[in-house]
Amino acid sequence: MASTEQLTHSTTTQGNIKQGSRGLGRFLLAGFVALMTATAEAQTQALSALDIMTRANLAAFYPGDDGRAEARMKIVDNQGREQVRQFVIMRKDLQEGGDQWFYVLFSRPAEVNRTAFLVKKQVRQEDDRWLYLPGLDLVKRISAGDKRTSFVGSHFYYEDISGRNINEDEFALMADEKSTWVIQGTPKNPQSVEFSRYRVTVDKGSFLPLVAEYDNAQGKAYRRAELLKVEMIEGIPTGTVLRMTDLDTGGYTLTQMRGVRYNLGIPEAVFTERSLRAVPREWTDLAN
Amino acid sequence: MKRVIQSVAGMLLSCASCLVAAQTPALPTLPELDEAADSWEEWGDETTTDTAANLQWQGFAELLAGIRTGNNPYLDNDMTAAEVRLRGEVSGYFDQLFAVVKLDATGDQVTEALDLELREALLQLPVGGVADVRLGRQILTWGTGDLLFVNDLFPKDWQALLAGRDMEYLKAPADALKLSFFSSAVNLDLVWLPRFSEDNYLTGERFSYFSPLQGRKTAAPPRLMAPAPDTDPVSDEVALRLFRQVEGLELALYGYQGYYRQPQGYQPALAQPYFPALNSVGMSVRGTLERAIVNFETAYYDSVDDRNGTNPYVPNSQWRYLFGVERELVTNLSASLQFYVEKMADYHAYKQALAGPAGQARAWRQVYTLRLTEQRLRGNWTNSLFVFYSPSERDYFVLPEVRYRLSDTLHAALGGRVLGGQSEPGFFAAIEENSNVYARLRLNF
Repeated sequence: MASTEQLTHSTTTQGNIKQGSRGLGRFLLAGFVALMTATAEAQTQALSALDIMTRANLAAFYPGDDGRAEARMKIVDNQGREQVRQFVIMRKDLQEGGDQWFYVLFSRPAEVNRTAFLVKKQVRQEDDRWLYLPGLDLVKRISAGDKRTSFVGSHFYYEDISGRNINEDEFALMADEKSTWVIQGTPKNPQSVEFSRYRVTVDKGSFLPLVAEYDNAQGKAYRRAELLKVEMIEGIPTGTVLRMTDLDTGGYTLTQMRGVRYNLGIPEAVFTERSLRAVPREWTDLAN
Repeated sequence: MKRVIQSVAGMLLSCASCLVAAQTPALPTLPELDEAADSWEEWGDETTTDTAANLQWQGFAELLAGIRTGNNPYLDNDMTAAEVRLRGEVSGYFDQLFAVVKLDATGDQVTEALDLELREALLQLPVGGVADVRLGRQILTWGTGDLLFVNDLFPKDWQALLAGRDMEYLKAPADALKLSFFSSAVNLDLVWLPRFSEDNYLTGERFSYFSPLQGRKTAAPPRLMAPAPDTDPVSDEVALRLFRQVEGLELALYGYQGYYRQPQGYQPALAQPYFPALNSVGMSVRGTLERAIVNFETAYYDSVDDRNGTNPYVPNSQWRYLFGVERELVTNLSASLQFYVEKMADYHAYKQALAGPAGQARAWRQVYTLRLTEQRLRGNWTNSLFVFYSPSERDYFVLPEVRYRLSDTLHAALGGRVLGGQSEPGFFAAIEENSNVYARLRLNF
């Protein structure tokens, strides 16, 4: 089941997340947000940059004590062929800025209907991850892996969702505009990633990143993430449409988040093997 | 004025939500969203779990063709599979009750049979916050092994594995009532199978097999078969699992009372194979070590019909051990290793009871497995290799496969099932004439 493999793979490739970028993707978008807001820790004006960074990280990854959303993805390859993914995702924070639990339930494509995965993100050690394959009634444990590989067959990397550890990069403030900062990130260990540097445009009002562009070894941009729509949900600016484009091929993935809700009081018991084998409808099926 | 109140309310809400936010989060001004980027019309309003009022229909059509890589002197047909499969599946929620039916219709040139197989027909219902009930025909899986089973004694389909069907078909369905109880201290799965379900083992029709009784390889006709163990007053089966997690470490205890799922016993008086009674107890533990998944599992198989180990027609009791480790080697390439041991509990008695030693079981059987999985094209292309190697029997079973997802609807696979080993047949070498290559094409709908 290829799609299942993509799920397996994506979870496999979600790697160790240390302090700083908190997390396995809460919501796709929030992860993306944090990836980029994390980089707002510009080295000029250190205090201010750290303040921006801290607030951006919390705002992007830890809004409320928990949350849920419906995500759907349109994956378009360089020949215009489309694939789709649809899932509901729930998050619970154990500590603000610390460990988080996630439950993701897929519904499309049909072959992965009722496939679920469970992630216990741990700041101080490797995350724990399980994938449930309904066709085999199998709860599979997933090992850690490279974070910069495709998330469920999309153009997003797992790291785009989980957030990139800010300690991995050095940052420089490139521009301080009226409503945005532009920050450049350069990897401390260039061997560990496929990019040579990236630039992020961060909105000053909401701390949301608006655009991120990655350069290859030749210094040419080859990958671009864009926030296309932001909505105020329960008082929290929340990205609801975003696009990741492979600039070399023209392929892209468009993601839409719907039914975003915060502070639902999702109990810990939802984040267990029980929910993998039997969908916790009470929480997955909230009216949007 | 109303707008002001709304915005003040919004500020208060946002301050409550973002503890550290000192100022009102304002929405950034984004460029106008182009229509192409925000067109979701073809999706409708469907949401992930928005199935309350709807039944969800899905299925696939699949072609599978397999051909032997060498001559099989026991079977005429060079094909190991030439089948068309149609799957229909309907599922839905009725309040808290979940129901699913999966039905397969197959036409197979090799067995010259048209079949309907009910893969699943189950109801699942939570009972309060503490229990789940699952009733009906279902696939059941637990344990930690990868293609090696220690405490998972639920029905399996070895023909599907050998023929190169999708891995989903490795497990065969069973009619069962499964009760699951959950608590903070420990969880319990209790499975009752009211009637015995056998494995889909090698019967000699599609694949030849080794007959220990005849001491040679053979095939149908006659098809290897055995009566279900319904002569006993009670022929049902019970399986249970007690499990809990401690800081990411998964601990489980298992028990089973039932039967060997292959006719590994022989009744000389009736001159027919049968499914001997089997009890089993075991445990497993699984956790992470650095970036790897590590698991250990063991079980004692109590061969009820031959407790003192002197009956050469019934398998002896056994200890089984499995140790496994899995991790990513490099980006997009992961590997897993397993080491598996079967130890006969009463080998001395077994040896003494044997008339002759030729072709008989060893006290120990050891198997190593290696799995390599490589992903390309954002996971749309998968190269996989699984190898069994037994140092004790010096035989092997290699399962290479290449899978390509052309789209969400069209998937293709090419693979092989290659067996071989020393002339004195071990577990895999005994069926080496079944080596084959196969191709699968699936159209989802």
